[in-house]
Amino acid sequence: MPSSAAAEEPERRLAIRAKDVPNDLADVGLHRGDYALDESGKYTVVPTSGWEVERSANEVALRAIDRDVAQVWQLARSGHRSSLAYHLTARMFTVGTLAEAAGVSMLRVWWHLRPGPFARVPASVLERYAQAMKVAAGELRALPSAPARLVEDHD
Amino acid sequence: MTEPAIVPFQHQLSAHCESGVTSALLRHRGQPISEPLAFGIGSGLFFVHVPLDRQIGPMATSFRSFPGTLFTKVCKRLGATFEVRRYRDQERAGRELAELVDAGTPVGLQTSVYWLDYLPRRFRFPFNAHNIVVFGRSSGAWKVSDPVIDLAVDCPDESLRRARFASGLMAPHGRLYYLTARVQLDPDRLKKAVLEGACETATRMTRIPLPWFGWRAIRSLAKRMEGFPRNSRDPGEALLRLANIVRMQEEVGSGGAGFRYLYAAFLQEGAGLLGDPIWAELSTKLTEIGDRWRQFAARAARIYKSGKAEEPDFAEAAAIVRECGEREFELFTQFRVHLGR
Repeated sequence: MPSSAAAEEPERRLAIRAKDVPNDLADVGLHRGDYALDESGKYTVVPTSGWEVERSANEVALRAIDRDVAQVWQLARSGHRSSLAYHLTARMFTVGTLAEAAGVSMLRVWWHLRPGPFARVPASVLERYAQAMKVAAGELRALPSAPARLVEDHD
Repeated sequence: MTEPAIVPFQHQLSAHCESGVTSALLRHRGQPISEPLAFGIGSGLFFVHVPLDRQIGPMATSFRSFPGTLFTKVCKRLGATFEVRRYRDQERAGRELAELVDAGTPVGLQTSVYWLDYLPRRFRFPFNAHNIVVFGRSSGAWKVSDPVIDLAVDCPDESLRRARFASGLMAPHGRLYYLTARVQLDPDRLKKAVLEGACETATRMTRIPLPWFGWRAIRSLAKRMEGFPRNSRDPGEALLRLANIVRMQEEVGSGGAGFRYLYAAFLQEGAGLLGDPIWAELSTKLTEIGDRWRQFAARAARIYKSGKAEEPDFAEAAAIVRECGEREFELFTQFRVHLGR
């Protein structure tokens, strides 16, 4: 491999021996299982809190969601999108999954992503959106003062 | 109606949810089938990559077989009697689950991690194919044994109901499954099941003439990965697409290196069971391939942590993936020939 010995260094510990299973995220509290070889070369399950590589991969994904949420929040604030569009994105729903969960047609959900039509949404439909996303109906109508963020609460 | 003695259910930490649940249910019914064995018999190892990652996200790449198939395959191959139910009516789903649990039957459930609020917030993505065992209940809560965490937990009724009826890709529709009787098993049947599971995996990894399945999918993933910096909207998207592959490989429930270590553990156990040294040899080889997958993850992590999407870096990471693909092709071809297929 072209990379230097120094660059390979952090990868060396990956050679999986039960005692070397990464436990980088000690703060998580919960453990999952990884398979690793014990002293005699037999596979066993080792509890692990995770790996720095995996944590950072997760963080990339969470930041991408945060970015989308912030974008929709901006659009909702400037009146280009409804507050429903914001709440839907912030809760990782899509038009499709919300439509299915609320029992409302996709076209109608999509229509309600505009501020005008959403302002006229019947209370019964609003209630179904709220039920599906587990929020109060009143909260759906309002836009929070700042977009929700996922990355802050785990560092 | 109820069984004479209700055996308390034992929680056990596993690596992968579905094989963990299958192993736990079998163990409860008198057959101590380990998790790797269940994973191998149910042909859990696979590789899928469909070129839709910009549309459907991380689920475009999978290191395992389609969710939901493992339990039924294991049961059929071992000759265990089981039942699978799906529901439209949420009330009825809850009622029937309560009846089963009250009768002392641990029940496997397909759920969405998004609604399981005993998991840390950052793991709760809308992913619909997580498997858990429910083995008891108290007022308003279910006793849940989630194989990928180290303790049994309580899950509120509403949270579980939402998790069972989440919408979206691979929606669970309240799917539940359980073994209906004690499992009787003779050693020959077990050996036959191990061979059947192994044959299916070896065949599917090498013989599907489409670029989206088996080792060919690894190759096509490598090829596409080289193009990520070129054909993404912005560098951020290229890095996200790379990180998503690492997430599928390393995140909760793969046992490390995209199930490769778990399958190596199966090969090791199979070697002892069948008295076949070739299996042990293949296990060692697969462990090495797993190490290589982990090196890919570490290489990829350096890329997405740098925040820059440069083509040479992606090509370097893709080269490791390609090498993994070629080595898996070699290994599973050898395995298939050895199994006489």
